[in-house]
Order: sequence, then structure tokens, then C-alpha cells
Amino acid sequence: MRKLFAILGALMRNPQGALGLVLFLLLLALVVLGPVLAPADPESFNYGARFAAPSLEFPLGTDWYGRDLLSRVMSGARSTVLLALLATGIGTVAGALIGVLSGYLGGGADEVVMRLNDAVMAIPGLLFALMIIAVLGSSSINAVIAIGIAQTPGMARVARSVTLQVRALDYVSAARARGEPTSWIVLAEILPNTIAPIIVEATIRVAFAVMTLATLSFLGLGAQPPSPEWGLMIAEARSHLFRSPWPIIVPGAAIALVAVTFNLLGDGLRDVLNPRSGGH
Amino acid sequence: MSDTPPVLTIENYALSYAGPDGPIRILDDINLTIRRGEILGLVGESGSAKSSLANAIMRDPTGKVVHESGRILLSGTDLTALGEKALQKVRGERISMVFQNAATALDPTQTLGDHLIETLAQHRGGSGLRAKTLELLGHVGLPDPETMLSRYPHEVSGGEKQRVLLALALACEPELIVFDEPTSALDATTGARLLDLVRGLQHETGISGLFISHDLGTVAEIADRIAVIYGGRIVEIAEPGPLFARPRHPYTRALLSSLPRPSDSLTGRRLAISHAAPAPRLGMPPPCIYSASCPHHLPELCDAAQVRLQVRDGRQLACVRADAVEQSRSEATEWPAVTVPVDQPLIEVSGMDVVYGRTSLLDRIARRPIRRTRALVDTSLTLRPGETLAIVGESGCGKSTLARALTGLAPYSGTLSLDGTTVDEMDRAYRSDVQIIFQNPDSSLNPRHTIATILLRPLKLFRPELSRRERREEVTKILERVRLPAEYASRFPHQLSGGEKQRIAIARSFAANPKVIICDEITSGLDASVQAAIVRLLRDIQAETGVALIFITHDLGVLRHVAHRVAVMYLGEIVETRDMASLDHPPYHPYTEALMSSSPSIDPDSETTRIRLTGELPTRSEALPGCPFESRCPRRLGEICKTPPPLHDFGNGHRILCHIDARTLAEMPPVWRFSKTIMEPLS
Amino acid sequence: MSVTFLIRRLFYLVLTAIVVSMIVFGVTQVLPANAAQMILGEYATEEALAVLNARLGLDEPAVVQYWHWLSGALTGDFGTSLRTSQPVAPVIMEAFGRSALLAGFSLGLVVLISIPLGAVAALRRGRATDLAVSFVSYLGVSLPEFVLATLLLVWLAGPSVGLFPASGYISFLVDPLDALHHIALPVITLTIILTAHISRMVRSEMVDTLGSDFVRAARLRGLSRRRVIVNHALRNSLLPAITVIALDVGYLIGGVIVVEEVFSFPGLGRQLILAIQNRDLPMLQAGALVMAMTYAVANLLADLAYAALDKRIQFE
Repeated sequence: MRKLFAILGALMRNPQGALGLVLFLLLLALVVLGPVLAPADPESFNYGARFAAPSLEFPLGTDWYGRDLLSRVMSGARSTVLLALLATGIGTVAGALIGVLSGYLGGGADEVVMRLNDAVMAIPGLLFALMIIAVLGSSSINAVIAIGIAQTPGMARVARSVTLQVRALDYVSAARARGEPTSWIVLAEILPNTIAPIIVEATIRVAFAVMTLATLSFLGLGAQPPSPEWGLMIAEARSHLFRSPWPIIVPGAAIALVAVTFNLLGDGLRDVLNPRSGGH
Repeated sequence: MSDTPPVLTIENYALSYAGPDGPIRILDDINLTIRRGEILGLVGESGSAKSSLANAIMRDPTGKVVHESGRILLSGTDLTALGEKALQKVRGERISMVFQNAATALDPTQTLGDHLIETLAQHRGGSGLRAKTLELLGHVGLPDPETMLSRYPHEVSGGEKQRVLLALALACEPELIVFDEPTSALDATTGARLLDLVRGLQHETGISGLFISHDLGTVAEIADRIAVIYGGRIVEIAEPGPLFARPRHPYTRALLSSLPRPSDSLTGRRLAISHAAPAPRLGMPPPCIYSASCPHHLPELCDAAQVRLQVRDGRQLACVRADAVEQSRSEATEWPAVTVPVDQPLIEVSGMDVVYGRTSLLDRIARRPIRRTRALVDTSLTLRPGETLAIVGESGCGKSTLARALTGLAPYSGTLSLDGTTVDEMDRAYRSDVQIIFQNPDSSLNPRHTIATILLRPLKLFRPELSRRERREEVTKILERVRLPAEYASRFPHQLSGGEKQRIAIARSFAANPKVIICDEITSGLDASVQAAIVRLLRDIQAETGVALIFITHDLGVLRHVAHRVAVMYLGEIVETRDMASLDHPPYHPYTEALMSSSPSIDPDSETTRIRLTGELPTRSEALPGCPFESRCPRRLGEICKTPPPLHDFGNGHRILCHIDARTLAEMPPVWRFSKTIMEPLS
Repeated sequence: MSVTFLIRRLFYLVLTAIVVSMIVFGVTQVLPANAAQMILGEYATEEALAVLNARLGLDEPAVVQYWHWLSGALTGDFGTSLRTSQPVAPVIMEAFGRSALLAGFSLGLVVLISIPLGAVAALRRGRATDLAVSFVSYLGVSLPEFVLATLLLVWLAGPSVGLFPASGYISFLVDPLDALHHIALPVITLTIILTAHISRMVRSEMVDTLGSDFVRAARLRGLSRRRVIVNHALRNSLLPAITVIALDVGYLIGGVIVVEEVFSFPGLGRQLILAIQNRDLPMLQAGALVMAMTYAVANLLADLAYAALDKRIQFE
């Protein structure tokens, strides 16, 4: 716990980290309380005020049914952010497991796993996700699984390269010279020193997950109507393209803001967690 | 010399960088001059700001400058007043710099010749640049300049790169050259040759220079005068002879007394452990920069006014109590008596081979010949209980490979026995008896573990009979034995200083009560004063526990203070094994002779023979049938050296692997000639 | 560049091709819907399904089907589209040509813009120019292509500005000017997003190189600022940038899919989305394989370029 506070403290002293952390906490509040705090019902139609520009009544304007865009974006936050975190979690755990094991074992096993991994990485991320969706069918949860799987090889590569760096350090040699069991070497000597870079990488990947998730929904392959998922909101707005820009700008800005948040947080953590800069 | 005009004059120079807790004082009250044709040595330990002074002269600060005052005059031009445009004309043309790390100071995408040509073109322009470049490359002693011209930095050796840097610095015949630790990254024999070259060039062309190093011995070889810097202030400037014979400033005295000398074996001199703390850098500067660490500090005298450099007895000195200091005898530190080894083998290695080689899946499919390096070749050695065997040699000689093989980190062939039993597999009992300490404590201590966790591991593994409480108590005891307070148990490695971290690594190695500790370059990278303390600690532990040590090092000076015997390695083979007691007398293996004579010393009582190696270290990729030293040996006999050399036994465990007959070896001149004053009382 | 290096990289490319083709084929194998069922509809009889399955070769073991598909693919035969009943190969080839045009245009612009932009930001590190470039590129990497594409569409193709057409494609062979007019919006979108990515990379490489010993050494030899920046700093920063640009071809391909969808551009990406929506197996397989191989070849070319430019590589 003390360590966590120390990291948060260091993060607050880093300009990128501080901004990222503040945005992240706001986002967290929105995820938990969004539907409660929303000023209006996100689903209630309001034909008198279709395509309204921002006003006191509708702070961010309305869409083609006159629904309050602020309320829709706020209630959409939960699904977008939580699903992106879930997708990244899948990719990170699977990738880290493959990468750390492959890196520690080394030799032929490592070479085979990494060649295969590189070959899979030759499939561009979005294309890979699309192929998985083609198998699983279009839905939010399938999109999450697709993004998680698509992120795995990249994460495995990062985890492996960190493991290789750590494995070459003298404290691992010292543990091997002492005759420590493999479980101690992997779990106590190597893993704790690979976690920081993996967390940094995962944080930045949340931003990608948010964008990919929205992209899949936009293509009609993720969340289905009438969900207030942000990508889907933009897809639906395309039928009313030139009536008002607000139904596109508002969810678009929301996606960008979330992505910026995680990018900032990741960059801040990178600076803070670097053990050479005296982190903890 | 004193009537020649000064090339460089620094007047009342002070510099502060911005820091997280306010301005950090980097340099303060710097006053010095370098005359034409003079080389001024600048010596200081890590954190003394010696490199910051070089950067200040080059007008290239590495931090955010918050305060700067004083003047830096290059033949009358105040460099501090010049703008970027004017500086560009001065740099390279009137003042140049030789960097510490030649491997990174050359652009990897540009040929060596292009480096020189672009520099000449910038300042000289015109034609004939290629001819001038060839001349410069020849001038710095590079064979075959024509080929060198089109080589890329990665294609030449470290010593050759450093020579190219020197050629770049010389290119426009500058008024002053700043040498920033130019030999620190090189091996002893390569560094010695570079120093010879600089000295030769100075005699020839009379270059003026500022030569910065952490190593007093290196500076002594080259400098006309030496300035000692501590905490960003110069405390003493004197000529090398007087400085070493009679250091006046308390800091200089402490520094010198912690440095080993060749005559130590004869005089029985012990290394002093200095307790100098890092100088204060924040807030108001103290009147005397050394006051916090000085044993002679008298507040009413020393703190009365700013202590500045004053001319005294033909030197400059920043101490107001110099006379009192001189009269005080340096406290003779008590060292434990040398342990007497038991005459029976503890570890016996015979015919040990280690081969490094990587075969990839594709190589195997393509059936490509496998490129392998023979890191250790047919090595045999014996270690006795309670003995310290030093293993010396330059980088790539296989000394660390030997350490890794003995601790199960590198697979080997050959036989190894411990206490008379052959070791077939490295079981828990063997690992408990044979421990290793690595060179760099920054990487040998897991940054995520507390000191307690680090020390508890060997106890849990090797002394399972201890209860939880006993283990905790043992940790406290172990910390006490390496002179660290018990509170350190809850700290993390990064909260400790370099010397303290190495103490923890030492503590970890003897927690299991081992019979042998292998120390792999454990004092390299530490300041002299810290090194002396670590060596002392090892001796104490050996006296208490009777543990045997294998002390691997490339630093020859410290050998006399730790080792009973020494094994010299070259290209994976032990070429000589001998008693330390006989080190001052021949016979020597020709490589031992060259290695020992490459080690610079500051000893006023001894003179070192000058033998230099030419050529480059070959890589041992395929079996070398003959003598490994054949390609560079100054005493090479001829074709016979391409056959396996015989092992001469001179008795008392003194063995030399060489084709030269025993008589000729025994008639070699000694490496060190000692002054009469110390020889006489002995005879 | 040594021959063994070339052979090794080609070997990896073949390995990649095999793995990718297996994944592409394997993914479509486990599709829940049976192709015959899709063609014949919900009410087809068991017999009719069996006959069609046999005709399509779907009753054979997966390995045999894979071999048929792969040997066909190697000779340029990707089968028949389930949606249009037309051969897949010509459709894919035509679509690939259009997408390549779109991607090539964008990549060319990106290289022209992002390298100077990243370099200038690094040189003016911490000053207003750097902050502006960094801020905009931060925004760029945080904005999905479809959002930017839709916004540009609304703004520049909307009735009030009407600068570009909202959709469609005209061949350059028919009317070069009109073709340029039609391809402009997709190219602008891709260029903005990719420039954000690559200029960030160039900046960080350049910042590292500017802090390196050899740049300092060059400066302290009194070389002109121009020479230090162009001959030493930039030259050494561009080598790693080549690899980064090749890796970003992956983003570019993803971007192409999205942008083609937004602007109804009849390229490979649009064919792919259509194939997924219609479960058009042969089309999906062919499209995915072509895209993945394009990426693999781009990475190979980058490796070779790197090796040709960096003299140190040969020794690895």
C-alpha cells in the first residue's frame, strides 16, 4: 500500500503523469457514477429538439431523436472503458505469460515460440480482430475477445524482451549460482522486475483497445444498437451526416479523451517506474 | 617553463546547476593556469566534478546552469563571453577534446577518414585534406593509414578508435587539448601504449593539455603538474614528484594513503581507509570544502575565512593547517595478520575447458559451421584452505569465465574436485561451500528485494536448521560483520551507496559459511578509498573464518594487499602461477612482465620497467595450437612459438608456460627497481 | 549485405507466409455457419446440402481442403465468391491496386511531412514549436481513423464547404484530376493519423541521437550546426525510423480498411468488410492473406534497407 502511494506521489510530480492520473480518476468516477450523474435519460426521445446545438438544456447538443448527447456519452463510458480494460487484460495476461516463460526457458523452445509469434504479428491488428469477429460473430463481448487475442503477440514480444534483459542480470546469475529452484527465480527474481515495463505497455495498449473497440462498433461488428457505445453512436450518426456535427464530435471527442488519458498515464508511469530513476 | 605565456587561465570560476532541492554547487573558486607545452593533470574521485570542469572549458554544460561567474581565458580570449557562433570557430580549431569512451564518440555511420576530413574541411578548408588525414593517422601510430581511412568505427579495436579520437583532437593543431579520462575504458597494456603516444607527441610538438583522470597513477605518467580536486574545489596543485613524496593537503594525503604501491611488499605499508564523505553541494559553501571530513579540522582556524589556494613551498595549497597536518602521523591502520594457508588442496581444477557458441535453428538446418569461442583452455589450478589466489588478466582473458564455470553458471569439461571429492554435479553442498560475488553490485542485488530478503535467501537454502528467529538474528550479525547498521535490513539496494551495496553482496556470499568465495572484479568501478575498505573487509573476514578466496582483478596494484598467490591469464589460458612473495623477482612469463610494467604507479620508491605490447588481442575462435601469446610477444623466439609451449617449474608452485628456456627466463631484469632508501634497511 | 542475411530473412518471410495462411484458413474453418447452408438458405434439404458440400469439397478433411486452397492461392486462384459467384482473384487484384494507390500516396506524404516535423520538434525540444507538434501528434495518436474521417467528411464534403466529393473512386487512367479530387479525403485522413505516429517516433529517436556522445563530439570539434544535425544526428535517427515506418504499415492497413468504409472507396478493405458481413469465405481468405503478406513484405524491405544502410548489421 505504501508503495502504491509512493508511485502515485511520484506520478503527481510528473507533468504527463499528473494530467493522466487526474483524467483517469475523473474517468473512473464517470464509469462508476456516469448513468447516475447523467442530467437526462440517455434513451428518451425529444422530437422538439432534434439536432440541437449545445445549450443550457442540452450541454452538448442532441442527436436525430433529440436525445441528450452528454447523457448518452456519460452512460456509454462504462461499457467502452470497462470493455477496453477487459480486452487489454486478456492480451496482457496471455502475452506476459507466453513472453516471460519463453524468455526464461530460452533455447529451442523460445525460438519456435517467438518465430510463430512474429509470424502472427505479421497480421495487422485490426485485420486480425476482424478475422476473429468473422468467426465469433458481431457483439461487444466478441469484440473484446478479438482485441484481447490480437494484442497477445505484441505483448508477448515486449514481455520476452524485458525477461531477456532481466535474465542476463547478475542477481539472476547469483540466484542460479546459489542453486535456487526455478520457481523462485521466475517468480521472485525475474517477474517482479518485468512487471513495471509490462504495466506501462498495458496502459498504453488500453488506449489502442478503446480506439479499436470503437472502430469495430463503427464497422457494425461490435456493440449493437441501441447501445450508447461511442463508436456505434458515430456509425448511426452517419445517416444524418450533414444535419448537425454534434452527434459525431461529442462521441469522437470522448474516445480521443479516453485514449489521451491512457497514453498520458502510460508515459507518466514509464518515467516513474523506471528503477534507474530511483522509483520503488 | 614558468615564463612561457599561459595557454589557459581560469580565474575565480564558479558554476551551479539547477537541482530538485535548489541550486547544486558544481565548481567553486577554480583558479588555475596551463602554460604553453605543459600538461596539467586533474585528479579526483567520483563526484569531484572533474569532468564538469572539462565541460565548462569546452562551454558545454551538462546541466541547467543557474549561476556562473569568473573567467576562462584561452590565450587571452574569454571563452565564457563567446556566443555560439564564435565558440564553433574556437572548438576543434583552438581547443579540442579527447573523450573517455571512443566506442560512442565516433559516428557509427561514418568512416574514420570522413571524421577527420570533415573536421579539417570545417576549419581549414581547401585541398589536400586526404593527404593531411593520412599523415594524422600515421602520426597517432595507426599502422596502414590507407586502410584505416575507409574503415567504420565498429571495424577497429577500442585502442585504435581512441587513437582516431586523438588524431581528431590534433587535427587543427589546437592551443589546448582537454583529455577526459582517455585511458579509463582501455585495458592496461592498451592504455599504457596510448599514454606513451601522448607523451611522445608532447615532446615532439609541445602540445598543451588538461588531462583528467580518476587514477593518480595514469596522471603521474603524463602530467607536468597535478591538480587535486575535491567537491568542486581544487585543494592542491603540485609537481608529481613532490606531490607523491610529500602530499600536504589532508585530502591528498588520505587519497594517496589508500593507493597501493609496488614497494608495499617490501616496506609492509598498509592501505589506509579514508572516511572522506561526499562534499556538501547545497546551500552556502563551507569556508574549507574538506572540513566535514577532515580529521584536523579546527573551527576557529579553518572556518575563519574562505580557504583558498595559496602558494607554499613551490606548490599551491588550500589548507590553513598544513604544517600541523604534516607533523601529525597518519594513523597506521591495524590490518589483520596474513593467514597461513593449510597445505592441502581445497579446490583442484584440471584440464578445464569452456566453449561458448550459439547455434540457431536455422544454422542447424543450413548445416553451417558453428562459430565458437574457446573462453577457457585446458586450465588447471589448486586452491588451499585459507588462501587467496588472485587471477589477473585483461578483458577477454577468460578470468570471469573461470568464475562462472566454478559456480555452475557455465558448462565446462574437465575435472573439478572439492575437498578431495570429484564434483560431478553442482549439488547444494557444493553451492553452499563455493560462493560468488559479482563485479557490479547495482546488478547483482535484486532492486525489488529488501536487504533482509537478499541476506535471508542463502540462510534459508544452506542453513535450513536455523529457526525463523535465528535467521533474523543472523541477518543482524552478518550486517554487523560488514560494518553496516542493523536498520539496513529493511532498506532497498537503491537506498545504499556503491560501497555499501558491495558490502551487502559480500555479506550474502559468506552468510552460508562457505569454504571458498570467488570475487569477480569486486573492486573495479569503486573509488580508491572505497576499494581499500573493501579489500580490508575481505582480509578481516578471511582472518576470522579462514575462508579461501579467488580474487579476480585487472588491477595489479591491489594484489599485493590481498593475495598469497597469483595466476596470470591470457586468451583463456593460465600462462603463469606464482607466489606473491616472489613477485619482485624474475623469472616472469613475457606476458606477466608486459602486464605488470603497464600498470602505472605513483610510488616514489620504485621505478617500473617499460615494456609495451603491439598488435591487437586475437579472438580465440578456433583451436590455437601454439602459445596463446605468440602474436604479440616481445620476446617471441620464432616459428617454435606456434607449437604448444612446455611448462617450466621453478619450484614453490611457480610455473611458467613458455618456450623460452628456464635460464633465460630467470635472467630477465626485474619489473620494478626499488630506491636505495628502502632497499638498504632490508639488506 | 551478406548472402546469408538475405537468405535468413527470406526464410522468415516464407515461414510467416505459411503461418499466416494457416491462420487465415483455420479461422474461416471454424466459422459456425456452413458455406453450403449460406448459399442454399435456411430451408435447403439435407440432400441438396450434401451435394453442394461435395461439389465445394467441404466434406473432405481440413488438411486436404487447406492444401487445395493453398495450391490454388499459389497459382492465383482464390476460388469463387459465395456472394457474387464470380472468381475472387480478379476482384481482389483490382481492389488491391486501388488500396495500394491510396496507401502509397499517404505513405509518401507521411514520410515527406513527418521526418522534418519530428526532427524540428526534437531540435526545438521544450520550446513552443515542440510543444505544438507534440500536442497535435498526441491528439493524432489518440484519435481513431473513423472519427477523423467522418469529421473531415462532414466538414470538407458538407454542403457548406463542399471542397471534395463525399465518396466514390475515379480511375487515374480516366481522369487524373478528378481521380485526385476523389482520393484526396481518404489520403488526408490517413496522412494526418500516420504523421502523428511517425513524427512522434522520429522526434524521440532524434532526441536520443542528439544526446549521444558522437553528436556531442561532433559539436565540440567545431563542426557547423547544419553539418552536426544533417550528417550526424538526422542520419543516425533515420535508420531506426525506417523500421518504425515499416511497423506502422500495419496501422496503415488497419486505417485503409476503415477509411475505405467511411468514404465508400472500392478497395481491399471494403471488400473485406463486405466479405465478413456476408460470410463470403473465399473473399475473406484472399483479402486477409493479401493484406497480411503486404505487411510482411513491407517489413522485409525495411530490414533489407536497414541492413544496406547500417554497416554494423552484417556482423550479426
